[in-house]
Amino acid sequence: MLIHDYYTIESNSIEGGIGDFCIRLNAGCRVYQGHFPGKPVSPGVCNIQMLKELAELMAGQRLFMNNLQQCRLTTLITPDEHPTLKANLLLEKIDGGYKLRAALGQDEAVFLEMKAELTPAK
Amino acid sequence: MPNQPLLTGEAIYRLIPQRPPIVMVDTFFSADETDAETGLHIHADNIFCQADTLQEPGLIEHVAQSAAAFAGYAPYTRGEAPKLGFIGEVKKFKIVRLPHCGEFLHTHLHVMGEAGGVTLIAAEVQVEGETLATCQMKIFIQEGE
Repeated sequence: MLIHDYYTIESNSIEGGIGDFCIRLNAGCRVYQGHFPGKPVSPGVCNIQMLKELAELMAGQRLFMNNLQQCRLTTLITPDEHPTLKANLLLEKIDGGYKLRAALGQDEAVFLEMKAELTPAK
Repeated sequence: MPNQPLLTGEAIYRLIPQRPPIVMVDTFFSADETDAETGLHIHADNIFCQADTLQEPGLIEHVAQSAAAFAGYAPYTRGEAPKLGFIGEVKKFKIVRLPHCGEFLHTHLHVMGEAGGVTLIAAEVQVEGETLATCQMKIFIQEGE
């Protein structure tokens, strides 16, 4: 893990290219000291990284995100208001790597969704 | 490359609301109406470094904070505090290679459009003239409290 205490996986189900995860954000992670002082907001890039790490778990190998085709961040995520999140991933094998579609949210609401291309990390 | 940066190090705090350990811009070279240039020295203790390399989220955050600094520059020249800026959308973030510790990122931003508190920017990140990444980003600036 890049920031080892940013989140924990509470449960997961991986079947074929479909992965469903329950995530707990750690409000004590030191990234919140600076993002932002006295007003913790989960950095969008940390959530993107988290989804990439979940994709690595599914792929069983380290991946390099060479193309983040699109990522929409529609709701501000904070560790206080959103201590638990669900992540739904669809990882498809393509020539030379993987195509990832992922959504992060709660219940039926989607807070962040992304499409990316990944290749095995050297 | 511009000769003398306008702001470096902690002086950048006047432009962006982020604070350590997640400050990802340390040089602000220039800004006009439509373009800006920023930079970042990559140190091994950067929270987004792993195996002597700045990882993907570090590169994306550098561009996002560069855009935030750009947005914060005009208020700064008027003596106002920086406003919170959030990434609304990242598009076509293509990474040729990840930068190594010790390298200096030099980033060019260009405003493609602006409407209702949303700014669309295009960015190119270089190390000594070599393009490492390009992207487009929509940044929301939060007005007031």
